Amino acid sequence: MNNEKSIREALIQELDELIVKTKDFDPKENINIESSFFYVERIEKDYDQAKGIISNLSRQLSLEKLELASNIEQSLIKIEENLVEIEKELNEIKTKKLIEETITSENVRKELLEKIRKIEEISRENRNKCEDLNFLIRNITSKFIGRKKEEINKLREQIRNLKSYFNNISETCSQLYDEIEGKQLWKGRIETFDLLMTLYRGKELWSHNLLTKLTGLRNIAGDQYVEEVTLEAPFLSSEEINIPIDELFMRYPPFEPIQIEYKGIIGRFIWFIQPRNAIIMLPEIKNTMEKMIKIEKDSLVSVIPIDLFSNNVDKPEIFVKINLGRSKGIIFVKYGSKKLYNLYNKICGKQAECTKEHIKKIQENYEKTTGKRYSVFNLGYVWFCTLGRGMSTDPFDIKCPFMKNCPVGRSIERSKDKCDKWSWSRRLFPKVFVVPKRELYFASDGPSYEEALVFIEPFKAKGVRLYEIYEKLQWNMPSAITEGPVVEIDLETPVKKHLPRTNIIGFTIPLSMIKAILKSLIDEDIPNKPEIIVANKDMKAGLNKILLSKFYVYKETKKGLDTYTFLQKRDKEIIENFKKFYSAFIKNKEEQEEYMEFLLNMLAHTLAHFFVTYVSNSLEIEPSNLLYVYKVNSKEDKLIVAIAENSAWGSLDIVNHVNSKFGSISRLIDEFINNTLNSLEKHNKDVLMFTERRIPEKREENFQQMKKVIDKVKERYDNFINNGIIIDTATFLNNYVLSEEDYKLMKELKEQGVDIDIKTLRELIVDAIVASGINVCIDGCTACVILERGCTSPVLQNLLLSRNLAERVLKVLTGREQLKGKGKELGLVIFNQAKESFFAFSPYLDEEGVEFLQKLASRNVKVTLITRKENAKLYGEKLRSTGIDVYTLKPELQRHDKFYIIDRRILVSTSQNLSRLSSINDFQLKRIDVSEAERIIRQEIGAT
Amino acid sequence: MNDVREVIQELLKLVSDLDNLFQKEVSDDRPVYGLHIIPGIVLLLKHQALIITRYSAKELFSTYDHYLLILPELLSIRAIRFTGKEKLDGNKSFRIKKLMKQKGEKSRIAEELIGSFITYGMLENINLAKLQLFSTLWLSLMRPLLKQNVVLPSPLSLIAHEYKTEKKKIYLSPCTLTLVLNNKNFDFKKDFQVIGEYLKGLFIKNNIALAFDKQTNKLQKIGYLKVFLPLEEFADNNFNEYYNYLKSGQPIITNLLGMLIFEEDLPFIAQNTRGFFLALQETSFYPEIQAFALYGEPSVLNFRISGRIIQKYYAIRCMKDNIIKFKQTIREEIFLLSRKLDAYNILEKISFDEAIKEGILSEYLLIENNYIEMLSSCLMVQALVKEFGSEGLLKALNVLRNISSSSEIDASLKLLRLKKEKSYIYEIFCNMNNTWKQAFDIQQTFAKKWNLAYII
Repeated sequence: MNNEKSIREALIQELDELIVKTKDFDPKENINIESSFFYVERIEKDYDQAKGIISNLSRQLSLEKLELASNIEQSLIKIEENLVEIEKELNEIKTKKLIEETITSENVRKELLEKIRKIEEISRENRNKCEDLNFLIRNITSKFIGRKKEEINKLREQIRNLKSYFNNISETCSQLYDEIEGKQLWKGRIETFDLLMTLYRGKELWSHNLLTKLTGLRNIAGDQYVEEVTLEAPFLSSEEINIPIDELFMRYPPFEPIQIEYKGIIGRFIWFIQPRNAIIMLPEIKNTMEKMIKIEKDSLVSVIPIDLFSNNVDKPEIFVKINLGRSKGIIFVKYGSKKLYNLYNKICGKQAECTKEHIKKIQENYEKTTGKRYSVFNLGYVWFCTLGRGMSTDPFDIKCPFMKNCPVGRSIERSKDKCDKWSWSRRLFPKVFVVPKRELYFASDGPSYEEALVFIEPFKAKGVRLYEIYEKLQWNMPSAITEGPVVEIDLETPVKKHLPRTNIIGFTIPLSMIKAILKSLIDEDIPNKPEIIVANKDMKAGLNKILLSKFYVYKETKKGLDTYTFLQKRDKEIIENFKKFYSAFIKNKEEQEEYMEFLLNMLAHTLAHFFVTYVSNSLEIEPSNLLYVYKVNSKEDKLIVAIAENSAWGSLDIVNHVNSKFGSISRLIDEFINNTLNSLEKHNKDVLMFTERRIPEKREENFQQMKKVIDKVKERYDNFINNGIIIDTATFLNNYVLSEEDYKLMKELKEQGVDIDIKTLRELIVDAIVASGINVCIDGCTACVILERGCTSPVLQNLLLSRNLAERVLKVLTGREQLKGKGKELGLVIFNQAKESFFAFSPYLDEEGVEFLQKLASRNVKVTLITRKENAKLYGEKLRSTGIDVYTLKPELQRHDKFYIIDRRILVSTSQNLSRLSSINDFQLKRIDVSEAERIIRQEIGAT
Repeated sequence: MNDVREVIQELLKLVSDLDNLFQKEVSDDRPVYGLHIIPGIVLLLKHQALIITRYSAKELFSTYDHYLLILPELLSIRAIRFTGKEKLDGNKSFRIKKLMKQKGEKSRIAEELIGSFITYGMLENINLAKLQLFSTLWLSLMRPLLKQNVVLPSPLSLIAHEYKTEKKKIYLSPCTLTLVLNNKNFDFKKDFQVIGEYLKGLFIKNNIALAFDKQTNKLQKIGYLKVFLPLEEFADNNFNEYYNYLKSGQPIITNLLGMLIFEEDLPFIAQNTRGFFLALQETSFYPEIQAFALYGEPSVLNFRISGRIIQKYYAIRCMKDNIIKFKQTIREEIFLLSRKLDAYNILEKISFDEAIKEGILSEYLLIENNYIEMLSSCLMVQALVKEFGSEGLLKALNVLRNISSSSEIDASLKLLRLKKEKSYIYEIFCNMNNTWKQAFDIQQTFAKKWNLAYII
């Protein structure tokens, strides 16, 4: 032991010396360009927020809704002026050049430092101004002025937010300053520092880790290194264990009782992270929280779960009150059980362990008194509120423990002793998901691209910095349906996982191209939409309708977070609301833009899901060792989908892995697309077969009784579809139950002489939905696109993914399918992708087409055109003057076909001439070799 | 305590009954005036309604401006909740043409918010500074009550209020109180929460209030009452002076206008319960008017017209002796207290001069032999608002008295003539409501039934 300690100390001393030696500042070595950009981006974000608030505030004040003193307005003007100053400086810093040049030029570095200092000072000044402003408003508004106070409070709330943004800016500035000044890294290389930190923090350091970090050599047998959290867990082993942070959140997430049996009781351990929108009520909460988790610099260092049954706990019950925002109300969760704790201690004694006999005794006693068969030793089972407002893991909570706190409980309490919304089942505590946000920063040389597949451009990059930030936790409350209200917990301090040098592979698609394809897919003027089978074989719905339905639900449910309220609506109301939504939607440009944004994200998200699944399967890497990232980057006109390896130093080396297995990333992407499209096709067939096979089966089983139910279900579903709303079976069933349609049906059946209780009827409805032939996977299910773990929006997957959209876009992009679209909106966008050369075989031509070709040529794209004689005559000179080669078709050939070749590798077959660009035509893309392209061009020119 | 609970239940029922009565009484052609307790004070009412179905419980939140108003013609204090866009001036009084407890039958808001009305926007601002002067007089008629050392509001002044959506409601009862402010147990608070607002001021514990038992003719001391004395702009400037006296160790005897804030589930304050008196203003002390509340009886004029008797209550009638005795008892007690405690007695300076003999009220008091009649608030309002004034009113009253003592035919003829002449007397006759009398009776019978003492 002594020996080990002395080695450790010696090591620390050595490393310390090493660090001192390397403290000489070398900008190249010590300034981290990526993290500097990270800081600048953060400043920009906060700046944008502040700007938004200020313009909002000025608008509010200018409307003269509030009669406030003029000095308030003046203060605000001053803040606004300062903001302009910040913008000026920020715009200069933002240019990539400035930060990059700091490495080489000392002068530039000084200039930059000055600018940063200036922003910091102005922000601080503004922060103080906000504080004064708040005080001023507080003082001039008299008390007891009714609703006017609310307005002023809202104003003050905004000013408080403004203050916090300025605060953030000044703090980030100071971090950036340190970074550029080299303060943060003067101590030496990051690896050495990291090693030293590990030694300071941890109790053990594996020699292979030490060697890896010192030499850069990797131990192939060892795990890849990621940040770890110390979890003190007597239930797992006698000692504490180290666990990667994402593993911790996946296996033992906060707010979920840890489902491992320890001394006879399951779920006695639980841990929390300080939430922003919830209050955790337990004795000495502050103290306990500090003891429970340790967060340093955004990253979680250690976790000690509370043992609700330990000897030093007085009150083994914890209440959590979660505020979901004004319209969605408050949710309560109770952990632990005082009664069980007392019983347990009475029978077993404080020290001894529970024996099986003890457990049996308590269990029997419980069953005798309550008449319920329910494991009293599993504190992971829940009693719950059918309205989704609360749950308790206390087996003895036969009566709702939140009645006094809940408005429903309070209103019932007057008349009854028990709330009839409180229910019991053997339901486990719902799975708690962490919602990760991923941010990617390339090394300064950026990713390296490989040969593009049509428009899909594969890339790889090493030494990429990736942050996974855990800001939220989500779960579905148990309720009358399984997917009850979504609970979202905002963490006070988001936990950050940092992968400083990982590797990624991925692909980009030109955003303009994708937008054009999406536009053609959703444009109602364009006929022959791709159709999806929604029920039986004969019932189909256009993809555009499916997508719009999703967007409608997304909007109606506050971005998917309030589906529960939506599901309670009657079908008539849903349809009416949809109609209202639709008529407003077609007039509202902003809404349409939001829809496009929604679709772009949905597409990227879905492609990312498919990609991560494929890479995991083909490279035989555990899904947990991969992280997907997607980004809609309008600045660079790119939609980026990438997979990063979940390792801090890139020890999996996914790039080489791909190269050795596939030869290149291009090849992998090619295989990925083929494979995904094939499996989707197969999945489609499976789903249809399942539906078809089930129909006769079901109908034979209890045809007579079910016929009526099937008809009713079908009628309702058809009604939705005929009105343009396409929802999946799960949503349909949930809506059926929550809108109390089942009770209505029960009444109707009773009138017809069929006596059936609600439970049986509900089972019948579930069967009837399958039997009525409604497609079980309309636009995504767990078997095709929904991921069990690693998703960035875990509980909203069915709303934010679309397998059909991804399938369609991939098919169009790879030429498997042609797409109808308007020449101007789709055709020109496709042609515009040309970077080097553009060959057009277009018998017809008009002014607009000429203009387009000229523009293309002015971008230094070599343009060659073959057209009819009369057109060549008309426009030839004009075109040739801009360097376009124009050839004339022999009149006797009488050709009507048209095609285009982009950059000598993409062949576009279409019915679109370079004339009448507003007409609707078919477009099909095909990837060809350069040699083939040249052959075609030669042949066509030769024939002129 | 069970006994008290029973009393409170009845009290709530009485308030609700009165609400129903007011609802019927006020209409487009019978508007009433509403005076602020203190002009400029508007509360924020946040109400949460709950619609529970099988699988859902929808919570609907609404915010209102809550105006606490003295309704002199109804001899009561009630509130109006207003949610409309049009802006009302919280400094000016109101003319109210409609009082409804709630919209529609399904709503439960009336049950939850007793003493609070909506107006369907049928109210308008009106300048009634003259009436406002009399508000303390009418407040003197509405007395808080005492049951076995538990303070209860008068049924004439009770309003349920909600300011936090999660919290249960509180009850408010604006009133005047004679208090001995305790110089030994007070704290200066920077952020004291009062009805959702954080105020600075003095929180004083164990203040003495007095309650008069009609049966024994004795005064009883209540020693536990908590008082909050805001040192804010909206409150009385004199409170700063109070602070100085208290700091220098001298208790203060004063009469304050403010409101009892009941923070328990029910409207009562007992020893060791929450709830306190929020003082707003130092105000005149009218023990003789309070005597009317205790001993007064409504006087009536009976008109025999076309085969039926129309009763019009026009005043409260009280024996002189009772008034004098009552006043004396109080004066003695206060004198004793001030001597014993070496208190700074504001009452000595500001009032105890006799409102009956001098002052603004004398015009509305009819004195005859052993009795004094105080004209009803309903009649007073008419005289104060309309051109005919107090003289015209007294004249009219004589005419009406004459008619009431006439034979049936005579009375009918005389009234008809007045109607034809469009005389203001006929207008007064029509506007004389009996609602104030019913309200007045309710307070008295309630106190009598449960043997309650009147807090002065």
